[in-house]
Amino acid sequence: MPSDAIDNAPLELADLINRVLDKGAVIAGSVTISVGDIDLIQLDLTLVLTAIETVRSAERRRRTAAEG
Amino acid sequence: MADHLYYVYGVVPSSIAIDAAPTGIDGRGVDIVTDADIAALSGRVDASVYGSGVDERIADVAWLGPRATAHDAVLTWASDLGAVVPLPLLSLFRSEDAVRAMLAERRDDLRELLERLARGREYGVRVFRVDAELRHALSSFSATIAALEAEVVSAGSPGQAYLLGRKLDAARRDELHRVADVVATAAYDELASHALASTQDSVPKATADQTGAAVLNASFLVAHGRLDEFRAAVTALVRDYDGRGFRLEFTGPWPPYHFARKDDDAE
Repeated sequence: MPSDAIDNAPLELADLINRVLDKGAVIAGSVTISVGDIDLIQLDLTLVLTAIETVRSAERRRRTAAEG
Repeated sequence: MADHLYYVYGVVPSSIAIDAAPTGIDGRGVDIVTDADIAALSGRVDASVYGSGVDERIADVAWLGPRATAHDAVLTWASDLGAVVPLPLLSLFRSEDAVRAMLAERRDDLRELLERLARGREYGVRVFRVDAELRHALSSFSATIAALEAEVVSAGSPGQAYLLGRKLDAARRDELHRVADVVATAAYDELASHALASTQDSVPKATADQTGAAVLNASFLVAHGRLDEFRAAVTALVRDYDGRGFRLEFTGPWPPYHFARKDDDAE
């Protein structure tokens, strides 16, 4: 894999995560999936998107550093 | 609680050749749970991993990344073979029966979606501003800028030229955004006219260090027989804006993530 592909990976991953988390058919009304009587998966989308934004910011800082 | 949960990637026609499926989440196998002519692409996963604490784990991109990649790989494999209705990442069910019950309950909607999604594939198009280029090309998009540039050239004195130059700089800043909106809308409308369905996502916020902000982030469901036509339309846009301040990015085919909701047509 060329090194620039590796450099770009975090941004591409963030894009992919956005697609697979946020899109797709809505089953059970939302991304909260019940397991038994308990809502097992309560995806905190805000939390996830914050984490993705952190990756992006880090990537941007890194790029700026490399260019500057 | 049981040791395993059932992870569902998406819904496919039950005729899919599942033996050739790639490895799924956590290196687990992918199988189908069938209800008449539709089936859930699914696999068993450890309940201990996806049970309590999962909401903290998913906030960790290092944890989430490989799972997102595996989820996408299974759906991409399926969409290379035919129609698939993608489910969001981490769609979990407590048993095969619960998966089957979901299929039975939503049978009509899922069949309808599969029928629609069988007609094409999803592609993504993003348009980015290239500000260094656009500043020079702005007059080709904007009569206001063209007129001001002409005035600067024919200014009677250095003082007048200076003042007009200041006015031109301010106008350029305003026109940059207006022109970008016009170009984004025109590109979207043009490409949508070659697609079965289309939708836009918000564009990522511009940052100071980027060479050009995204102005369009769109997805298109393109009919199998019209892909060449769609590609030609993208190519025409690339050529049209080449050197004039806009860059296009074309991706796909993707699993139909953006077209898996029944009421998406209106978007």
